[in-house]
Amino acid sequence: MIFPFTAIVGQERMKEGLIVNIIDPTIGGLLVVGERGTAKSTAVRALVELLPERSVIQDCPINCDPEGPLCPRCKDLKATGDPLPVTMAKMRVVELPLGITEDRLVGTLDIELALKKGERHFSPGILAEANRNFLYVDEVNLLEDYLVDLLLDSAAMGTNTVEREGISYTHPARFILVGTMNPEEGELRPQLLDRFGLVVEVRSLTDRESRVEIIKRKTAFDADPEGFNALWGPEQRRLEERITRARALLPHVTFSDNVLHRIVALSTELGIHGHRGDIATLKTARALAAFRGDTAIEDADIDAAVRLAFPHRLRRMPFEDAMEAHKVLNALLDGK
Amino acid sequence: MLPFTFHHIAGQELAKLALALAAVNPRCGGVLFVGASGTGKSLLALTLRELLPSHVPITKVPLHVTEDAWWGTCDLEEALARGKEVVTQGILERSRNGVLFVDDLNLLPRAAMGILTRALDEGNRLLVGTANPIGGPVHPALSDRIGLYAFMDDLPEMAMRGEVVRRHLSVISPDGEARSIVERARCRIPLVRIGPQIHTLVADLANTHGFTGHRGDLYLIEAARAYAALVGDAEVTQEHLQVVSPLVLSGRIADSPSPSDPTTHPSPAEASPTPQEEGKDKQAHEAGEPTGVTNQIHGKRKDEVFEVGNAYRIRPITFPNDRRGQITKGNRTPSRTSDTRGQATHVTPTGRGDVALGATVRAAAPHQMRRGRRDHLIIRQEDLRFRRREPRTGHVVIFVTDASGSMGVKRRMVETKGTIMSLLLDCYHHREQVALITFRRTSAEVVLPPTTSLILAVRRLREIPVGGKTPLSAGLLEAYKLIRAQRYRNPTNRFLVVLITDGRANHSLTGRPVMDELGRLAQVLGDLPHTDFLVVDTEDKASLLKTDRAQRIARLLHARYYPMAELRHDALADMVRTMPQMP
Repeated sequence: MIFPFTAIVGQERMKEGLIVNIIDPTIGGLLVVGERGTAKSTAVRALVELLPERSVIQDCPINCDPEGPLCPRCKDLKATGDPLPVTMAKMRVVELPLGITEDRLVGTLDIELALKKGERHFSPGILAEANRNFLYVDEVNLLEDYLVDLLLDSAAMGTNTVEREGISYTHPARFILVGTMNPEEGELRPQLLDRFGLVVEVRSLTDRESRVEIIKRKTAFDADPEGFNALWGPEQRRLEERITRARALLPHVTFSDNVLHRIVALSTELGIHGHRGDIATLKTARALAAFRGDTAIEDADIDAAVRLAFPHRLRRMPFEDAMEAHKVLNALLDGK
Repeated sequence: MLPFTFHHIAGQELAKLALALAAVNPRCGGVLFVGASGTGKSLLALTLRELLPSHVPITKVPLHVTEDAWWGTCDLEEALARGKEVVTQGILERSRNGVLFVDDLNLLPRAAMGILTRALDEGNRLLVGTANPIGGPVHPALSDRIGLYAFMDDLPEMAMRGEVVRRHLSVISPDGEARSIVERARCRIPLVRIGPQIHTLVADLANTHGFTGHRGDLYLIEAARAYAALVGDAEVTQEHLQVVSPLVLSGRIADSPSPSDPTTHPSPAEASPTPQEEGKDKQAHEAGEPTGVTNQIHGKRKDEVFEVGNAYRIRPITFPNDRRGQITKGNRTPSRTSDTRGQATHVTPTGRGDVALGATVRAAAPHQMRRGRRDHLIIRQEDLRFRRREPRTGHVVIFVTDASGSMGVKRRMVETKGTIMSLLLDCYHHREQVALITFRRTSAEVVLPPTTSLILAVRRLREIPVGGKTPLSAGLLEAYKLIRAQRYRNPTNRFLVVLITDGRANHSLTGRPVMDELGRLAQVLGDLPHTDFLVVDTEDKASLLKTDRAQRIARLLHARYYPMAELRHDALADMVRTMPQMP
């Protein structure tokens, strides 16, 4: 039984950051930064229940999109000329555990087939499973360097290529990368930080009411998970439906040149390098508008999007806390 | 059978209570027994068997647990016999709804720790572990998921608490009945009521003690609930909370992130420093943990905190390769490891020694039919695959910083902090771990145990107060202890001790003349393997009153020596590379 997403007390910006990534999977994922015990993992794992269905090719271990790109297996299938068998399947949260080996991450030789028939076939790894799903790395800053390299490679290419043990295999690997980390336990490599579309910071809630509410909800959940989930069922379904509507509305959200100007003005003023930040901001603002049920982006959407998409892209020395970044951002946004 | 049973272990009442609470209510978050070797912590932990129903599995996690051991592995013989993959049960599968027992939890490798924390998050396993403080602290991500901390050698407190607990727990005394008492308590757990005033009390307790995150709140509630069930009460009372709270608090106060920042994290020691807390502080000290509480107690006297001066680019500093030829991926002493410890990162067809079985079998598998396999796998030379390993950690740079009153003269500390900041940035670029030790008044303290977090290091740097005498030998001794503890954890680590001082040592630990004491200490430090020294002299060299004593200390340590002004990167920097190697 999973603790319901909607029952998490506070941490609204983190929830927002996750939700917009469901609405628009091309935003580029989310990094949740904060002290331990602040519901980071709970929130990511709770996403499962809110995730929508999308069409996949039946029995494909890589969840290929019938519209493409296809994995070698599905390409062969298509080449036969028969219509591709399509089915609906829910998006998932696939976890990448810290201690994982390279084999398990990228995939390797299928030993069963090799022994039985003497044939070399590919046995998919986590990157295959993560295609068109969320890929969640807890304590992402503690991930070994060689795994980070592999992850960066496939994130950049959108594919995973395996050349080993006589196998040569390439399959699509487009995942929504979600990481959580406690910065006090080690720094995140800048290349990986830059890969995350959005970043949020979470802290412990210190007001008495919130603390008590957390205790109440968690103990109630532990005592009777089914009952608790039933109680929160309506709230969960409301959110799920709202997300589904937003996904449908997303292509219809329009924006004026003013919106673009505002984003570019902000990023110029803040000295954001590269264009990834601008694009992530625009997409996030669009998803937020859709989430509100609106087809036009408002200034408030942009401000909220900027707070998610810019903090890790501010030109700054590596040691300056995220706090400082937020101060700069807030000063600028509030001044407008 | 174990030679000891739950009732035979003398004293340690609070530790026993912790074990009983965890047995009654797994939501307490498990127990960590902390104590030096010989305090009976592992024996006590394993008496858990006597408390739990016999069907609950207890799975030991060996320190050198492999990934295969966690998830189960392909049973090769079976696979070959049947021609299909047969997977044996791993630790994760076997420990479901049971107990995970880890001896020396603080020595668990990073990768294993990641898997363990994830397993604990599933909520259906109870963690019971032991830790010897000499091995250093438990990784914070893991320690946060441990509910109860039992300090085995906390004797004075134990004796006192022991009485209290004995009175409450007299129910548990008759031999052999422990299991049925726990069993009854387990049945009562769902019926124990918790009133709103207890919720509020716990929230306030968590806030006043500056808990990081919210897990501690829940462990307090669940431990109190377990205790109520154990003593047969139907509702949790404030008294129950009082009995169990030391078990939860002792693990959390010690690791609150910034104890020297009383505005956000008021610590109980600040309100009323008690002898016990000072005792615990000393313990933590030996374990190489941050000892901010001491900091606070002294901090009440007049101290100055200077800002961090401008950072600059540090000249390249390299050290000779070490003698054993097994080093790390850090940049200061490049060489390759020939050791079989550390994380296996790559599998290669060339190499020797450590054969990667899975990869070898995979390489051989496609050829088996052609080679005419009957019942044995036919492996040829060309199928062999080897693991290439890289040590988990590389260099640890330990900054030993003079924070005595003389460092505050003419705001010298501003520039010094700027220099340390520059060195920290240099370490960040080299991806080295850093630790920070300061010495002033009459003692030294580890204000930052080894970490790769630059944010944390800079925060600690900002906070360093200046004032009092110069106990330089205390600083070096603390570095020595830290290195010893770290080497115990990871023998492949290499250390660089950066001593930053004006050299005006004037407080001796032993009563000997200061320079004499330093000389002896330097000899001890010189015997540490894989350790280099760098002395940064902060003395104003333009002053008529300069003593150049830091230079003398550098000679004692066989250290590289730079006056602070010469650390800046300039055209002469590469000179260092061509310097003769240190003996």
